[in-house]
Amino acid sequence: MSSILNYLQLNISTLINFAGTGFLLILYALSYVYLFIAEKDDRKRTFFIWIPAVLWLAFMLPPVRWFFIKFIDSGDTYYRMLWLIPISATTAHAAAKLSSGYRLIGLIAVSAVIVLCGSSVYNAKAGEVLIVSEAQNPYHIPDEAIEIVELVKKTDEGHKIRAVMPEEMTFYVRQYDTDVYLAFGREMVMGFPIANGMYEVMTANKVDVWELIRKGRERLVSAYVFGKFQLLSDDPEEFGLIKLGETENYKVYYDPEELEYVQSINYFYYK
Amino acid sequence: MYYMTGAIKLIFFLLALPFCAGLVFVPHDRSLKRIFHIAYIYGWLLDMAVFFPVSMVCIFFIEQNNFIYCVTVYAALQILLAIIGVAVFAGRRMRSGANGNTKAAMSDDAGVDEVDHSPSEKSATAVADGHIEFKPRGTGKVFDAIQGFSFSLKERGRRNFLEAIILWAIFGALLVFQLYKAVTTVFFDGDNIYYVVQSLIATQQGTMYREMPYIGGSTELDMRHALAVIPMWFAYLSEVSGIHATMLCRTVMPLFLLPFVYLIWFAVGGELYGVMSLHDDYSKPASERAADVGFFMCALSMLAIFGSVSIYTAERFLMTRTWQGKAMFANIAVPLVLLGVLWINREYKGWLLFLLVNIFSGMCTSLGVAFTAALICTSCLVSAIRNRKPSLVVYGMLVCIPNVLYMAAYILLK
Repeated sequence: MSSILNYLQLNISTLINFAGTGFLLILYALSYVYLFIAEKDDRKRTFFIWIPAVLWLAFMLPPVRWFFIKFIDSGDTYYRMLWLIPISATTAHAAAKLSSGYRLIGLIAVSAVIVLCGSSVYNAKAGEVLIVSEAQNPYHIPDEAIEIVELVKKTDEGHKIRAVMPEEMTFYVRQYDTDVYLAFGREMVMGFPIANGMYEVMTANKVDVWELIRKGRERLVSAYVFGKFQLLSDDPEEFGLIKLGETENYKVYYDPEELEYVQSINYFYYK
Repeated sequence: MYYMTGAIKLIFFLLALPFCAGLVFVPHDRSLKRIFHIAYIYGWLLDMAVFFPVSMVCIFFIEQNNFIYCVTVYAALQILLAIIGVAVFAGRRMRSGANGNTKAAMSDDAGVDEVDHSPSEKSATAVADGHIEFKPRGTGKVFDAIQGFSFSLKERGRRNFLEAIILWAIFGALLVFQLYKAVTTVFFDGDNIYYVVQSLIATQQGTMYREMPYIGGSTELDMRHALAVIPMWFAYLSEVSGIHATMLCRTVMPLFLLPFVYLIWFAVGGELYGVMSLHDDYSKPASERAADVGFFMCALSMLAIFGSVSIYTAERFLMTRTWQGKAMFANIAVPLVLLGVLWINREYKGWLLFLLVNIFSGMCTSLGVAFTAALICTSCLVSAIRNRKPSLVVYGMLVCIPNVLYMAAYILLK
């Protein structure tokens, strides 16, 4: 019994998370009730009322959740069952039916409700973080990421280069050029981190440059990107790194010793 | 010049070829002008259904440089399907024309004469009666394009006609706005680092799902994602068009996917309100039906923009992650199943549509097959009860056979 209640609680929690501000589902509920009363066409009743009713019931039933976790996916993807229910279409049809005599006025009224109570995707947030920004280029990645890749590849155009760089840039550079390999990337935040120690050095309050280069030489890293905002223990050029250039916020170096070694290794060097 | 050439190639592979392939599904007695959007949807789904086995064979049986084989074979098949579609369509039309069936059937079906039944509109003095009628007979090119609607400015037609024009203009403006924002706005999502990079790896490194997207370097085949081959389809489009895969996914594809999603909802709306559907409703004037669909589309469009009430809604996925498999599943596969549900409730056989969507949903996301199977089986069960047709349950289960096979493969490969 307690496990049934647990699954029911999970389902309610999933529904609450899906609902967010609640606006869409409240509008949907009102539309559903209206169509239940006013929609006379059999086909439309089947489509908007009876099939969604069964889907809603299935969504809330604890055994369905149990089955989903056991056989479909143990991750938190159960909310996608709600995608099967035509929430927007039901609302749109109810509004169309209600406004059938006076569509323009009806559209103005419906739009006012949607704009005032809804959440614009163009101000979308994930938690407290705004995820929306203006595109700087057709790749939809920062211009600086492209500049960094161009600098990194100056040393060895057409071949693969392994680079280490601040975490925020690792999200973008490989969306521009997959010839740039990375010492670490997004897996550090995805729960399966790479145990090469370079991430810890790079994200420390003060970056131990020699330690980074030492670890980098064990892993064929020949390009180093440091943020101008990062506190470095030493000037990288003291350890033989050569500056390739800089962007607005980053400085790019390469390790000639390591690059020479990398170029001699056919399996890595050969494109 | 680069963008122009890429755009032309993309139009050819993404629009022209699927449309031609879809012509094979157009019956001889249906006006293509009225259901061209359904023909395109079928053709696009058929092309996707063919891409799935081609890519699977290349991914699982060719380890090195498998992408070029996938591109070559699939491009050839796509062109072949288009040729077959055009040939079958032309053959059907010629045979129907030879039998004298087409003109009568198409003129009935085109609805040129059926909308307004007042005797005056058929007479030579229609204009003199103050009853202005627009008939799409060759010279009325604008109205040819909107499929034989005959708008009477008498009755309540004037308001319906104006409302239809205004509502569709509003929808057009909303769509243009969404497309503009899709090109000029970046929505940060960590999953792009995986999916977009997989497409880029295929085009730049020539290998599918055998390189680590986050940091680079070879790896064993990623079984969990290998069955969901949508990123490889984007890679294919990137390769044939010459457009960088990241640019294609994030800037170009929303320009196709957003209108395509609305095209599907237009097909659904057409079925609901009986216009440009497989079973039009001639009891109401065409202008009124057009206005209803226009309102429906406007409301959907507004909800898409303002439906980002949480990070989980389908609307949020559509606008912020348009090119990702999950978003395509929620906003393309599911509405297509809903279209099929409307068809089976009207006794029009939607089984082929269900079958093709099931294959497509597996391409979108590994869990997609489970969800579409659930939706189809639930819908068929409810429809069987409502229509008193137990056979619908059997048909529903039969079209989900690909889903069962997919899930079995997914579990075995995991």
